[in-house]
Amino acid sequence: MSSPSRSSGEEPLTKKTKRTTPSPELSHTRRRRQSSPIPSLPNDLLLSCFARISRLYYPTLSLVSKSFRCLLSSPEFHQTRSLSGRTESCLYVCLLDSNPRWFTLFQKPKRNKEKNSSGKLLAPIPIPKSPEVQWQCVVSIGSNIYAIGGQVRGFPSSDIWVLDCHCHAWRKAPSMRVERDSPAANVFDGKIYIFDPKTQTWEPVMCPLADKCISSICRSAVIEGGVAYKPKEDKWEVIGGVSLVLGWDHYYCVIDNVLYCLRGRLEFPSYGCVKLADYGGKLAVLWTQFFRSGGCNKKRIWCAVIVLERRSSEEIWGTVEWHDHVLTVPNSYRLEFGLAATV
Amino acid sequence: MSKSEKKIVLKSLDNEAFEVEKAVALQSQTIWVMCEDKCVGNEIPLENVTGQILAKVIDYCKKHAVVDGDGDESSEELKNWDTEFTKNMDQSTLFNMILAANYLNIKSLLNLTCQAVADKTKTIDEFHTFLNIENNFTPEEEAQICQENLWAFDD
Repeated sequence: MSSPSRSSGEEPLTKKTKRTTPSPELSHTRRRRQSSPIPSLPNDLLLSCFARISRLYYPTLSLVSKSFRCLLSSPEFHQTRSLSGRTESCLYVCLLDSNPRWFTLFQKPKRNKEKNSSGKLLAPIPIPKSPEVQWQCVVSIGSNIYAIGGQVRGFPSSDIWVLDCHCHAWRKAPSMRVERDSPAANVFDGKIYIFDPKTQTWEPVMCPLADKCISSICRSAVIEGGVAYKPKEDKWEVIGGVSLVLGWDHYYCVIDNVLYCLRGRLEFPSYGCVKLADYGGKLAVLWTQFFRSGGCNKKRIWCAVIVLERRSSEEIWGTVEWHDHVLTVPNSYRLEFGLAATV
Repeated sequence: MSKSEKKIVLKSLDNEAFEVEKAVALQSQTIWVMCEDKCVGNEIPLENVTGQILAKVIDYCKKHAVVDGDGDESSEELKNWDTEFTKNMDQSTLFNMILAANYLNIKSLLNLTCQAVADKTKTIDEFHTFLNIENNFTPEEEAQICQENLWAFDD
């Protein structure tokens, strides 16, 4: 509802020849007068069209109009996407300056696309009120990113924060029973399991432990020495033996029950940090590269997306779908997290 | 069943008549209900669809009809045909096709045409022109948003 005293940007900007029950968001869109009349679509059909646009284009689309920007984060819109099976994996990257800054991968509009460029960039997500926590551990389930424990002003925290990737807002989930400043967590069967390095135990959070875990999936955790927890057998096991321990640093991820870890530093010249992520079944590799420009120390964030193909029980082939530098930031920024949510 | 019973006549808004196989027409849930519900006879008036659009809808339905086990078109071929079908449609036709698919309740055609609109709108300009959505940011807001986004574009 706009008051008459508001600026022109606030007035309802929709003029439709025929109006069905309008959604509050779309009713603020106006259609221009046309010399040759183009039929106007009722809101539910417009919504149906918009819902089919890939989220890679959203940062651009949020510039279309104010009402459109609201629409993109409305629950109604996400329901439509979900109902028409249009949800997709979206890559989220967290950089740490003094505060965490979140980015999402987006596709540059065609007109700006240079030759040899993938046109992919990281766009900042405007998230109001990020919690002041230094996280060690984030995981995603569906459209939510869970940030678990960490430190608040130097003290361990029991908080669990949830970033809703539909509307890009933080909310608090029920806290853990104890504080954990550097837990490891994995998602198995839709539940988050947290490993507490202090007590050396796993604990399911968010929902009670299932009586039986059907699959024999073996999920891994960031624990010194390379240890895995097998929910089916409810026990710990050293996996892969010594050879794995050597290479299993922070740079790993699990995709379709296979642990991918980065070993050696040959392929990443002067890189600072690497993150691997399950990007909807593809492997996303993020890394940073230092450079100097105009007397300033800067950092390039690079991203590669690798399509994985299992050719036999022992062979998995990867094909680089694209790679590009997706963002330039001051050198003080640290690459904290890279993970995908299904939105 | 005689041959005539398998045919049905669809009449457009501008009184154009199309004789089609029943199996083709019945992909429309709306027509299906009309045939089930009342005695419309063999001629079905479609008051919301022009002849020009109805002809295209029928083309689509013919391609997608599975008539007496005759639907041996591979899904790949069908997909290519769908792509070609909407590829060169102008905005007005596309919107009219969406309206017709919605009115006739042909889900797959509605999906296809909505997807075509989505595929044709990727940039801000395309949005402004293709969908006639006006930029209703105030100049101050626009400047701020450009500033915020410059960062992402800056290299």
